[in-house]
Amino acid sequence: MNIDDLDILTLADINPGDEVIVLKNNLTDEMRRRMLDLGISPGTHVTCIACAPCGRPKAYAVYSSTFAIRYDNARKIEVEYVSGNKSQK
Amino acid sequence: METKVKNKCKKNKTDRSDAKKIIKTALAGNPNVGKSSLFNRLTGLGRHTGNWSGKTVDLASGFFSVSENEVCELVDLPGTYSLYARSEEERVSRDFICFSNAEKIIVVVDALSLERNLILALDICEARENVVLVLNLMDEAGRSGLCIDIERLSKMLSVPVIPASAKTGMGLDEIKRAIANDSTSSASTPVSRSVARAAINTVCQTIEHIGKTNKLSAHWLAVKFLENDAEFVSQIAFHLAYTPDELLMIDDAIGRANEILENSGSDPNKFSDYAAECTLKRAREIGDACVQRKPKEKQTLSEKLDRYVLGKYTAYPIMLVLFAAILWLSAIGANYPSDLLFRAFSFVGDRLSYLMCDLPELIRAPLLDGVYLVLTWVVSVMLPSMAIFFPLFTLAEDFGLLPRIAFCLDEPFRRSGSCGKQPLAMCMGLGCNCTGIMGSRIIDSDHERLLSVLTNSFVPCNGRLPLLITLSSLLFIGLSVHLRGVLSAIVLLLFILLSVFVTMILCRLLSGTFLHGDRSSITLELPPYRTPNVGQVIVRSVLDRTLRVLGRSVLVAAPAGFVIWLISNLTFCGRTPLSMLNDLLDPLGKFLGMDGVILSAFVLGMPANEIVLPIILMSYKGGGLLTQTPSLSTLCMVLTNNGWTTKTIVCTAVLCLFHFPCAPALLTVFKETHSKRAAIMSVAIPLTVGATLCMLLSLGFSLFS
Repeated sequence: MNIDDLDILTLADINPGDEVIVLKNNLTDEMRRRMLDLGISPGTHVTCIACAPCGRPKAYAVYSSTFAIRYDNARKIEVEYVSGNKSQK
Repeated sequence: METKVKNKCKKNKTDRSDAKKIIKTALAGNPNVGKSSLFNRLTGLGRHTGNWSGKTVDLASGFFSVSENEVCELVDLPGTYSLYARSEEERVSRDFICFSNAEKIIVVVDALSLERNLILALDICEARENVVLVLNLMDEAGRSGLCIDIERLSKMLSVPVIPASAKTGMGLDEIKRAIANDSTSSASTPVSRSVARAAINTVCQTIEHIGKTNKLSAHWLAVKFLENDAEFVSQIAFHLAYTPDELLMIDDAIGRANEILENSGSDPNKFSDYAAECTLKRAREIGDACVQRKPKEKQTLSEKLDRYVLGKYTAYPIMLVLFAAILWLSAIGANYPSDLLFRAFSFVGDRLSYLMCDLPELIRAPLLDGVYLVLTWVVSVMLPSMAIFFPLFTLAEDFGLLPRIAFCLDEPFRRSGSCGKQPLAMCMGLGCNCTGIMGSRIIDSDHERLLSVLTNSFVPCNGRLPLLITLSSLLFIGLSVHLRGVLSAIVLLLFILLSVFVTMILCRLLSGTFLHGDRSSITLELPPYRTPNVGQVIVRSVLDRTLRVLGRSVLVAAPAGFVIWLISNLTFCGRTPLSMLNDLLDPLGKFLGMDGVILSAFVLGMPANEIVLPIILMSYKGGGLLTQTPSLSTLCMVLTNNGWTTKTIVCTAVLCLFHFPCAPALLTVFKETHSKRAAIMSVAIPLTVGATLCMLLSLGFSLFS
């Protein structure tokens, strides 16, 4: 099953200002572990902070620190909007 | 008083080390938590600290006294996000924490981002004895309305916790006291990993039975064995000196533990993830229990600034303006101090020649007109622009601007097979290619770093910029001064853009062919903007970078001056070797749209590109003495008389951008890569590009005229 084909919300889809909760980390091996080390795992609150001028990558606030995560990696992390957040896709 | 003690310690380190006890301590922590500032505060060494993730590559250490008869040797470890190490720096940190003879580990955490920092802190506290936690940036935390229950945190982690601030000096005495305190604290109670408890205990018992754990906790070692990170396991076996029999026993225990895991329905291959998730969960629990946050009311200044610096329409213009300003300052602004230096040196030179008038001409001339002239030439061109460029660059670095530039430029460079940190190395290359090549260390992935190292010499350093500027002004010699200024600035910018464009194309080509490999993970941290410590930056960047680069160039320039004097003054059959070389290279030069004089000037200018134009002028004038560039109109006359056309100017400029790296840069490539192949490629690639472009340009010009 290719996750690109499904209409699943990922970190790569959210825009500056959106706050989401991580549902699932579909990365493998090293990158998966890297994300865990930054505190990104199911249940983590992530806020999109900024978007580079050419649309990629985006910067996310995780536990009061800001990280840029490349598109290829961000789209492997499934998220859902924090309830009450207005900017639904 | 403090400094006195420190100096005494340094002096007596060797002969009186028995009188004072040395406590070896390491400073560990995530990148960007102010470890290096704390290090500077404690040791007073004033080593440069950068607001850049993972910039500290070499281990720095310093001494300071912690009590009357104890001295602490503090080692500053590279920042890492966890003990799960993949890059060289992370391995250095991990191995130092686990296997060195350091008595204490000070884990520095960012009070503003406690939960994330605790992931590493928890791992270290669990791994070994004698850990002290330092909560840095407490002043900033207080300002942003953050309240941390220190006592509770200390109890939950079962290690001493010291609130501190490297900026205000808060907590420094407590840190020294904690280092001097010789009571041993054991590793803290392990994070609960309920599902795997039985499995971990199985391995743990075997490790406890063998007994060689040094300062490490058997339980933590058991977890690491089950995580099955082959590289780390081999390190553990090596440092703890396990015999093959003992390793077999552990293997056996791991086998049993995996069975237990399987029976309880969990996949042993996912144990590593599970262990990390447990640590993260615990970090969250501690954060929830100990940290009280006030809801944020308004945007911080940092966030407001980011709206523009990272803004969709403002980001690139801001970067371009900053870039142009730095370029202008280091290329044009540096001319005035350059002139002053020139005059001062020629004054000294006159005095020297007066003093040495007793010496025979054969000794005096090569020393004065060769070595001294080239040496002072290189110094007076390089020193001012570097003394301006490097502090400015370091200020931008400390302010926190560089990671943001890397962020904005990541996508275009990612498409060309590299990453957003490469343009930063290229910017450093504008100051000096040697620094740019060394600066490529900030790139994580090996092959992307190699790309950056190989293509750095495409960026014109400030030894080549003056030549480019002169050439661009020569193109518009007939126009009025102001119009000429504007047009030549545009042409100069075009030349630099051409070099960036060619860099990107080559990165694409190289990464698609024989330099493909891992992409860097770019989890780039964007730290909040911080006011740089201007005084420290200027002192450090002048000492660290400017003088080092200058020293290296001087070492190469002095013998080069001697050689240039020899081949332009000795005569064989009535001709100098220089004119022979010029004639030899002339056909090739003509083919590439130039002449032999220009080519041999580039060859002879290899030690320092500053002297390319002076060598050209010397050849045309036929004298044996390097001369300073005359006024533009005189220069134009000299060049036109020697057959220069627009074609020659453009081709020379292109060759100036793309030829071989200068000798110090070439040496740096070799030192950074430890590979002859890379050094050869770093010559061959730009040479091929330059020759091809010049040939095409020359063809194009002859077609049109």
